[in-house]
Amino acid sequence: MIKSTIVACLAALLTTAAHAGSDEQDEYYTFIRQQQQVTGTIWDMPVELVGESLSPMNIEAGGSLFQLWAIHTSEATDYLLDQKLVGAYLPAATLSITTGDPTLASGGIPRTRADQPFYLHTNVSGLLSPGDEIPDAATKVLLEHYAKDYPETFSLSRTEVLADGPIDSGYITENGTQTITFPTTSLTGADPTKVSGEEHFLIHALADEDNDYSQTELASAMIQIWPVADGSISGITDNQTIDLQVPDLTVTLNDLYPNSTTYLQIYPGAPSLGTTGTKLPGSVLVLDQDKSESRVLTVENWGSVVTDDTQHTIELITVTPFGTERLATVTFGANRVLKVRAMITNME
Amino acid sequence: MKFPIQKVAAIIPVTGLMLLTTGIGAEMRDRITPEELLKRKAAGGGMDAFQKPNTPDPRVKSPATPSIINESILLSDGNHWTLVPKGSVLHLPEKQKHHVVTQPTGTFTRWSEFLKRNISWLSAESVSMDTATGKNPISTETTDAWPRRGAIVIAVHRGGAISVKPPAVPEPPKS
Repeated sequence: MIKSTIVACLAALLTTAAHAGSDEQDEYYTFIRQQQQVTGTIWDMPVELVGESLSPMNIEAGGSLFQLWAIHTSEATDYLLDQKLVGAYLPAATLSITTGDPTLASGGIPRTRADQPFYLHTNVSGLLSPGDEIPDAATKVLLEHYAKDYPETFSLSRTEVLADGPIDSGYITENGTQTITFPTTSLTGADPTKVSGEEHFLIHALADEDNDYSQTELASAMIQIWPVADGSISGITDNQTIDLQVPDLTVTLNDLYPNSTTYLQIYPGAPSLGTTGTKLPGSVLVLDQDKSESRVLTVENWGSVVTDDTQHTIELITVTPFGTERLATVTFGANRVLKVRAMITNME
Repeated sequence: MKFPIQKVAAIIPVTGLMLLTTGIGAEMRDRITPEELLKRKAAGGGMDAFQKPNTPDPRVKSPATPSIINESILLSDGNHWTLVPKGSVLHLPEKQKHHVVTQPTGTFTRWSEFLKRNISWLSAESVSMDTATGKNPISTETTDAWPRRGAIVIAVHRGGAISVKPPAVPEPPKS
């Protein structure tokens, strides 16, 4: 048997637990359970929140399963955060995902938008070349792809995502690294720009008839998908003429990206995409959070940015890691001449 | 599942504004339409080129609904509870059986803290890996002492609860 330092394994598992508490006062408690696949010995490994540790249990030739669990301290619910099957004669694999959003959600989870590409990076080693006496299970691993829509709570457990089975799967038959490009999300909906949810990827070893693994997962990765924002401006209609008293504007914002800045801008003239205008006071909304959000804003007293009595355009703009987009536009005229109604009389 | 983290949304006055730098100055475009996105999806990509299994590969194993709570022994003191692997309970006195529960109640507490709280009826027996895997049985001197403790005895290794496999029954000599 091989006594191995499970540094990479535990470091990868523990990274996802970095934000969890381990004290009774915190919400979640995390720990690693190691299960030997041949002897069946199960050991709960006390670990620090983040770090690496030497596993004193040997890695059996038949493999050891490492599972990272989180338990909610008051709700008595458990969550399997990650698991890896490690063995001297098993292939090894890693998975990671990169996107156009450089910031990660809580727990180090990559995220992107429904219309944006993301990249799955795989690294497999330990596969044997096919041969007469080489079992098929030693020559390939299976990559599975799962996808699940978010419920209204925007929260899913791993179990819920995997419950319906993979939407796609395929064999990896060569050692080495590769990057798989997904041009958009695989989530589907009546409006493809408005889907949200999670996509998970798993790599499995193939258990041949001589092995009795409790499970075969070697690596996993996940990504959050958020909708494309949309919005509208009301309180002023196209080609309306305003006077000195500008109307209050109601800005309806739907599904703003978690990392975004959204605002109204104004400029003279007809709509011209790409124009840098003047931002309306009180219209800027900055989000830096874990979920998309919808809001309704009221913008008042914005008359100071109307430069003259000509046609003006107001645009609703959102800036995300994926670029700058125009969500809505309205054009109006201005006529701010002061009219005085009065009579001049002589006082006797 | 997301761990709680506080993030703030802010409505920022125009003056002195610090905007996201990513994307600003980049070419502005109109929001993508559903029709445009469908065209992008139709172009394919992803795992299209992979060799697919004809049927779900039977060599892949995933537990249907993994739950460590369902797969463990639960211990409770009425206000707190913890879990230990099945097979880790070495000795269970009759008068302490009510501490082994099927449903967790109260606040979950990690094993080491739960042991400290309940040292009056709970104890830990440190075992080696050879003992845990069934190679070397626990001595009778040790096992004889357990009833005198009057406590539940849990096998531990380096502070973590561990299952203990009974030693294999020696095969009878061949006649």
